[in-house]
Amino acid sequence: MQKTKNTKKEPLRKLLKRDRLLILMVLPCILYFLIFHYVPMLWNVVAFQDYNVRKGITGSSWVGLTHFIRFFESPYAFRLIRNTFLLSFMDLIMGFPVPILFALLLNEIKTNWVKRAVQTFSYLPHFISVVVVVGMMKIFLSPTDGIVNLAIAALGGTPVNFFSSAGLFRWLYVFSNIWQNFGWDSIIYFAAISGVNPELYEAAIVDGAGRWKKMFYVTLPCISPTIIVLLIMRIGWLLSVGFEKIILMYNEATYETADVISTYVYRVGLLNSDFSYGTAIGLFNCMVSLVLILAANAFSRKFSDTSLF
Amino acid sequence: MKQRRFLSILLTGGLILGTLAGCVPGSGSGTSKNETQEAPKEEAAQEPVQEQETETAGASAAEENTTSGETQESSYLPLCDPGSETLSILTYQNWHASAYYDSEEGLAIENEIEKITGVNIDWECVGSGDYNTVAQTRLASGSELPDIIRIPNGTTGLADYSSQGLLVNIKDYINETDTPNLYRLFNEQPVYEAQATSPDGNIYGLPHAEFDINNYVLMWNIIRQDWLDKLGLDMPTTIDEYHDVLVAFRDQDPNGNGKKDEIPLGYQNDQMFGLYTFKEAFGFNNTDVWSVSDDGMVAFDLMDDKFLDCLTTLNQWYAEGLLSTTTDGSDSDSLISQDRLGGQTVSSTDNVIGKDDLVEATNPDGHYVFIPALTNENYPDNKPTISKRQSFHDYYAVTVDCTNPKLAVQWLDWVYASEESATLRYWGFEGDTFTEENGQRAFTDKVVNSGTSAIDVMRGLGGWPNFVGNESGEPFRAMYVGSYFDEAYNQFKDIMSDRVPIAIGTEEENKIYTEKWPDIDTYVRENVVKFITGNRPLSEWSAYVDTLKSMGIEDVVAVKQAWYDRSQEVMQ
Repeated sequence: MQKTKNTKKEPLRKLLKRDRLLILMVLPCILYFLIFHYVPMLWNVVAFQDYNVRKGITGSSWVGLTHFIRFFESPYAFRLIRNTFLLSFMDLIMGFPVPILFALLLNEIKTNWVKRAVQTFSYLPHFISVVVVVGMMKIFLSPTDGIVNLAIAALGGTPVNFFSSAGLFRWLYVFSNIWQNFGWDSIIYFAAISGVNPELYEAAIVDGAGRWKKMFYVTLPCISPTIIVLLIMRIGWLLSVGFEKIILMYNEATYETADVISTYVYRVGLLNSDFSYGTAIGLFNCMVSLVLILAANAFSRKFSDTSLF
Repeated sequence: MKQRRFLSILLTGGLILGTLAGCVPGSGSGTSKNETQEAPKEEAAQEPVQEQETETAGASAAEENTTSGETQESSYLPLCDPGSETLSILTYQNWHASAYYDSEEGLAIENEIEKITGVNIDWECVGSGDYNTVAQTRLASGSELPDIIRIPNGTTGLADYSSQGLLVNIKDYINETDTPNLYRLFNEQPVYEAQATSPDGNIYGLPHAEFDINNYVLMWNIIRQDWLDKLGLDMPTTIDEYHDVLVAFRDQDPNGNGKKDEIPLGYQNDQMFGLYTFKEAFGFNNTDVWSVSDDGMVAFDLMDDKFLDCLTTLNQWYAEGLLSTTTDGSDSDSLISQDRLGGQTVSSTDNVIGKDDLVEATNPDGHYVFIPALTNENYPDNKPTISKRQSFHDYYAVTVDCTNPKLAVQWLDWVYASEESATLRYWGFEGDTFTEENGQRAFTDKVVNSGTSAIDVMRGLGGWPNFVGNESGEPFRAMYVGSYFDEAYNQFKDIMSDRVPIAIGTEEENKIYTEKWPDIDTYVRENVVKFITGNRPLSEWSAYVDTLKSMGIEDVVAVKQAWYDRSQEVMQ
């Protein structure tokens, strides 16, 4: 209390001078978000215009909600929204718990080098470019000479054509995502776990708790704030499904389950240079994301004490 | 002390920046689901109508016009004091794997062009897979444009950007004294002027033209000739015979390894959707999705009831295991190299030769050839033809940011339309890459017997360029004397047909086209594949047609009709 009062009295200039190096350190980050995330938002008005490159956003004519109406009337609107939601929710529901479980389990291993080695190997795939990952998948899952299908054939099954099957697309997408990211995502949980006060464990041992009980009644509650914050942030990203990956993976036979809002925006907005239409759909996507994140936050505030804001 | 603190801050700052850079979401990936493993050779066409680059292509009508104009030996050259002027160009990167137009020392043929015109060129080249994205973003930003740019998306792209006022009307600069070559070309070959002229009468770009080269480069389905021979089968000529051949490939172990591991038919361009080209055997007169009737009516064939007949047959073939189940065709090349693929849809002539190289490792006798245009006794009067590739796609345009548009047009005039330039670009240097005797030109051994493909040798020198395309068929043929090219040319020259022309549309037409066609295109591709694989029952055909109508296919047909009518008018 006392301290805040003091700082309030200090002139801003002095404060700036005192913290100049800290400010310098945070500056690149602020600039990055301003330039690449906040300023471009102004261009969202393009969604309500018939955007003309030469005339710019000040000169283009306003058309109101035309582009939004066009999207909702398009035969693909329902499918795109459904696919986007399904793919994201599957990714969230199946992908989110994995790094937590992994961190919890790995934490129980007491041999240090094993722990480190497993951790390193688990997050290595994170550094592979998505293009390479999809390439690897195509090679491993090839119906003619992929290792997976060779194994299936050797066991007497019929080879499965993974990339041509609409029903399998979501599973391929989700599981490859998990494989690629669970190690990396678990790092933050490791950090949270190592921050748990050892006295709590000691007390639990005195009370006669075994490993499982310690995990459920000490570790998990202690890292739950981290989990909830990460969950809320993840929900914010929910609808921005990895479109590069989908574009690399999909083909005519899997459009039914694979075509999502962002790939559609890429095709009609960018490839077809229909900028206003693409922006309108993108804006719609963002609005839904915003609603989701607000809802998740409110939900979390109501049922636990943790929330983002 | 102070220094150390400063250093540590610097380092921390660097670290943060580094992290941030790492956070920038994947740039430049995911561009190319359509890229086949076919070397840079031929890109899968993204739309059946708007066939993408066909680097092999080339057709220079300039070739033919040349004899007359040779006399007035370039009095207008160089175009400026050598080295005093610089033009910047944004265009495709060379197809050659290691020779780049924008390299430090430049390629021989580019340097020669710079020497003759006296204009320095500031090259900016982007690989074909990323080109459209890059060029569109540059054009969308609308500022700091290069002087000359290759406009992506063909006629719609040109109309789009010209209506936005980004491009210079180069017609103002075309006249007999400043641009003698273009002037002559337009007079002698009005199709060029027709294809370049916008509905408002202005000219905003020169088309990347591939005229007679497309007579040599077929896009059609191929088959293993040696498998036919081995099984004692004749080349199929009807759709029923073709079916029997596929069955024989499936059952009679043509690769002789004792296993039934042959895939009778796989896919190349357009993936499984490419099977639609078999429609020529079902009462349609070409292998494109569009056609024009004798009385000049444009139609979208893939909604015609006759196409249901085609789909029914293909669906049956699929059920019989005659068609590859890899709908994206991604395993075709590995199947070929394992000696397991009996045929492939929509392959181009240069590809066919490449396929033989692929299969050679496992089976030296492996040999792919084109199947003939198939007939069908149910449609006895039909005269099927094979559609040529699109003769025009991207355009070369001068942007409004160009400070010296007259010079840019003059540069284009010489490079695009002159005979000397055509010789330089497609034949190279006399005595070095080609020789001429009695008016007969031939490539030297350096080109045709180098161990690599002739066109690759030329591209290594900067020949057969991507930066200005107005390509010639004659040298193309000369590169492949005695190869399968000639054979295919002689077999198909009489039954190749032109595609429905794409004209530069009005703003209204383009609006309809860009709003409706992409969705329709997606819908058609997806459903054709579904019908073939049986994921959608054929009984839903009429629902498919109704959906197409509700998506506005008739409006798109009307636009196509208007384009066709207009180009016919200019041609008259």
